[in-house]
Amino acid sequence: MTASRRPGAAPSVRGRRRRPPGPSGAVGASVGGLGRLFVLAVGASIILGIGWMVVTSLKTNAELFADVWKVPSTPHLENYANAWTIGGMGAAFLNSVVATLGSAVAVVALAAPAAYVLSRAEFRGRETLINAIAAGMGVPAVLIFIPVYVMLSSVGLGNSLAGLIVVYVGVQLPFTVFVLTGFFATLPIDLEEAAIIDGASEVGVFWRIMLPLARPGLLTAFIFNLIFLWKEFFWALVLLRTRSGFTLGVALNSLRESLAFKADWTGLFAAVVILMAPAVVVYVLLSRRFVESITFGSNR
Amino acid sequence: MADRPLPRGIALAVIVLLAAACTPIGAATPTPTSSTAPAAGSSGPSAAGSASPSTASTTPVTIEWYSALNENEPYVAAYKKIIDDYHALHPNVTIKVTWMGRQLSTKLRPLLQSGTKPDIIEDDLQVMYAGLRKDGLVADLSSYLAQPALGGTGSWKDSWSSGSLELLSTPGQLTTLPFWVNATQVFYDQRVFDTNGLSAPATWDDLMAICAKLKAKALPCFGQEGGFADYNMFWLSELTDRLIGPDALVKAATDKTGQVWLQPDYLNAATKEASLVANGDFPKGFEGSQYPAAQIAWVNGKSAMYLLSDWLPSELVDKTPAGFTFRSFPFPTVDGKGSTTDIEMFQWGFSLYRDAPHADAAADFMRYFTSPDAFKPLQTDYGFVSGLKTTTTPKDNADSQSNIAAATAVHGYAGGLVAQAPDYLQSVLEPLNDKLLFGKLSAQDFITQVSQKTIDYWKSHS
Amino acid sequence: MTSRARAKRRIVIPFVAPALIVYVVVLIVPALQAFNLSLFDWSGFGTNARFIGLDNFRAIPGDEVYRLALINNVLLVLVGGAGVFGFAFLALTVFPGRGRGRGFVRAVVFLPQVVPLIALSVLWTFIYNYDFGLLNGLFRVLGLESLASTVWMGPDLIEWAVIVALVWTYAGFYTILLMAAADRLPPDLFEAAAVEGASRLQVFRKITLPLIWNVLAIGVVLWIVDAMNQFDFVFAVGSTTGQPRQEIWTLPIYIFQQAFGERIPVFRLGYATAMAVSLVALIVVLIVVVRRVLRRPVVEY
Repeated sequence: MTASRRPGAAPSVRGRRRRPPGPSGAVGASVGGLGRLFVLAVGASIILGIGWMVVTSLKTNAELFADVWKVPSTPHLENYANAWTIGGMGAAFLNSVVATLGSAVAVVALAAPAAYVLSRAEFRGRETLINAIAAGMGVPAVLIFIPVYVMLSSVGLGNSLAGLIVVYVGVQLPFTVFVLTGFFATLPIDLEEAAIIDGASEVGVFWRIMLPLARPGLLTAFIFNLIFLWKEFFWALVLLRTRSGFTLGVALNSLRESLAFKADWTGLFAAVVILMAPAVVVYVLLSRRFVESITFGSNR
Repeated sequence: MADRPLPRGIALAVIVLLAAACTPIGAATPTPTSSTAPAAGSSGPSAAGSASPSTASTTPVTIEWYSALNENEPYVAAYKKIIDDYHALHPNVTIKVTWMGRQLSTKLRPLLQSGTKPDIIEDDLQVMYAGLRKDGLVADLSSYLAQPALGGTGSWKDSWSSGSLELLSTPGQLTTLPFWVNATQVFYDQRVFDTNGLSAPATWDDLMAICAKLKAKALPCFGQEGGFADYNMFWLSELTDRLIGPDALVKAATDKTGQVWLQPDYLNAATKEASLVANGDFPKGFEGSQYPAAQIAWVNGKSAMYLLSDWLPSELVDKTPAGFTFRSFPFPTVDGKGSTTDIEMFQWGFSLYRDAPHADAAADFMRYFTSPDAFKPLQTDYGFVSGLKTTTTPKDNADSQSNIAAATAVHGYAGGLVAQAPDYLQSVLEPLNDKLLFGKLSAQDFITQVSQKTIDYWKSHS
Repeated sequence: MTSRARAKRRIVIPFVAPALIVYVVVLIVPALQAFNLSLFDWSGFGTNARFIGLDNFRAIPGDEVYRLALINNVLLVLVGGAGVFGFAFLALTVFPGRGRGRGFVRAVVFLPQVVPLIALSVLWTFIYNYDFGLLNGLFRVLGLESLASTVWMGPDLIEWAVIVALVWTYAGFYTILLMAAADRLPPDLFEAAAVEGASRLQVFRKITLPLIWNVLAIGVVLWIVDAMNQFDFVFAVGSTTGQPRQEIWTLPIYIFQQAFGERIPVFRLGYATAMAVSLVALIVVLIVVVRRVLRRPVVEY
């Protein structure tokens, strides 16, 4: 629930490829084997847990309580239909897409020019400004949620997606600026100089030369924001109060409370899958980029 | 390098914003409408000039109804039918329900602040009291209630059982329409009592004798949703009510010296509550039960009785196995004290928002909703026991209805603590009561701790 | 100064200002307001805020629920931290270098980090269920009947159950963080160690750990922030009604509850903010202490 301050999304830096030899020594081999087994078991439990939710979301409650492990003979997609319409996950899905995409686009659009001049222009107070913005990564949501909620309510943005997006952009800015500043700093200066000699304006240099060069970094920052905002729950809970404006997280929360009246666990898991699936799919497709960007981030 | 200072414009902007940050917070908020003033003016029926759709007006009106129900609760289907029927009768009136769930009052407060204008608010009326009524946010319905009842004789007011409108209304006004009344009862399946040769007990000792008998047959005496602190409170609420009186918990909770808790009858009540788990009267694992697991287990015969309010059959309407017959009896007398005709009760119903934009139209709809014909399916299909005078027997709740009819006195759940000291109930009493009910705390330790924590609580909430 | 640099400086304001304005309005102004608000008694509605100085802060030490929530936060930092970093160390030890299985482990253990915590808390609520939960079911299959009747979500065990679930959720991130640092170490170090016949444990203790110490220190700070701010998972686990049971409240949960309320509105905005300020102060102190304790001379390689 803090502003995202994960070490960095940034260009992938491929490590040296040579593989160190496997560790040797018979002593500890069995202990090592047990350790490996444990780590792999934890990994398996993660796949199993997530897979189990998907399978369960396709069962009827009767099937679930008859045997929690059994894979249903025919998938019951009506759980999804119910969650989507009656459970309000359909409307919430749209809200989540708007909030997540809108915020991620806006935050990168705001952060990129700022990061560009912060990393590549010379002016007094630059370091101070960089540090001041980076300090924003340390402001936890729990400190500011009451003033923010009061402020947004007083300008008519309480209980609205627009208000939520403003907050998302604000809390994600420090991290995004920080990461992109680091990224722009790694780009070569010669191209910039060459463009100036060719008569390009400073804005033109940024727009036509640097921005395209920075695309991998922008993309990584964008995706990190997408994933982070997709799973954001606290701010949505604080700000959104009526069902029509709910994002998926709060819609699932309200479903969790109200499905209690029906004891409809499989319907609840269908809602869980609706919430979880986009993030998991994006992750599976891009997992290497993720892991590598953390590799890069931890370098600092 | 000849650096220049940061451009002055930015510095200035930052200073201005920082200054804004330091303005006193009171000033940063919109001017309040006098929220503590009693309802007045706008709330009366017929503030001149406002449309009057109760007479055959054709001006389109949309009534905003904020409900503490969730859309997938079973009886909502019947609600929707009433709404559709009303709309068919009054095509110009559209009724828009926002299903907010049980946190309605908490979520509604900031919405009201930022300009949302509901007409009808539907909630537990003790919660309404604590959340809206005490700040004067609900309207007096007296003049509407003077209008004739639909499909009956006399006024709308006459169609309510005596005292039910007043129980949780603002004094001197009628601000609540308690169409759903929930009496605390001990529920059981007739078949279980038949099989074991039991009959409804009138005293605590008789009840414990039944439990002992069932124990011999390895049937836990009571189902209990241990994970739900509000449900665990029923025991302490009823035991203290019988032993001390309906205001027992409020008296003890609001005594800043903590001394009231030390009176012997409180220890007696705690001792009896603690004896349940000691006797093995709850199913194993009940303390971790996740609502509604325990009530479903109970209706499927995993335990014999269930202490709860009469919404229980309504919630179980589509989960009751064939052959199950809902019966209930009022909480018994304890050590010869209290009376079984003193009924602990929740009221659920409508209030009209103080600044409702369509007060007249909303009142007309509520009058329709609570008319015998419209309301009947909620009784016959979903077992609503009502604060309305009625001859209709509610499904699975006949006992509760007749117990209420026979009541000589009624009092609120936990003696009204929900309305009087909700935060105390939630953060002090319920956690301790859980420990007592689970057998983690002896009765004596419970009394010592609750007394001390009451002192501490009022110290930090002066 | 070159003309180029001067030209570039002219775009500083238009390029930085939009981001800076949003940043200041959404983060800085509210953060400063929070300190101000913590000195008031205020519901947010109608009646004006009443200035009460430090009374909100004075009420904190006597607040039993605050103490309970703080203990839970500290338990999470310490016990959860031991679990999270214990797992990361183990993974690093048994999967050293870029050996087989490591890529798989990395991809999989990180997965819970992308799944919304509220979804995971629904899963764990089911896993821990007494009657039909996966865990008791597993024990039943294994014939461990005494374990199979454990009430994981009962008042005694629920806090530990939550910590285990959170370790499961967060361990992946810290594992990846440390693995990533270890991957940048020159492979010849490991080759040399292999030649000398060092065991895996020795390699980890003598080579890997000292060389990634700085990253570990960052990781510990991140974990403190994660654990002290924990809200989402705890908010939704174990309960199918509104709030979680009080035994597992963390400070952010309590702050949220005092700020808004559950069924009954509370709206003690001033007190809630004062608690938030105290939480931030605690986090800062913890981080300063931890950084001091973990300070080591940087090892060059």
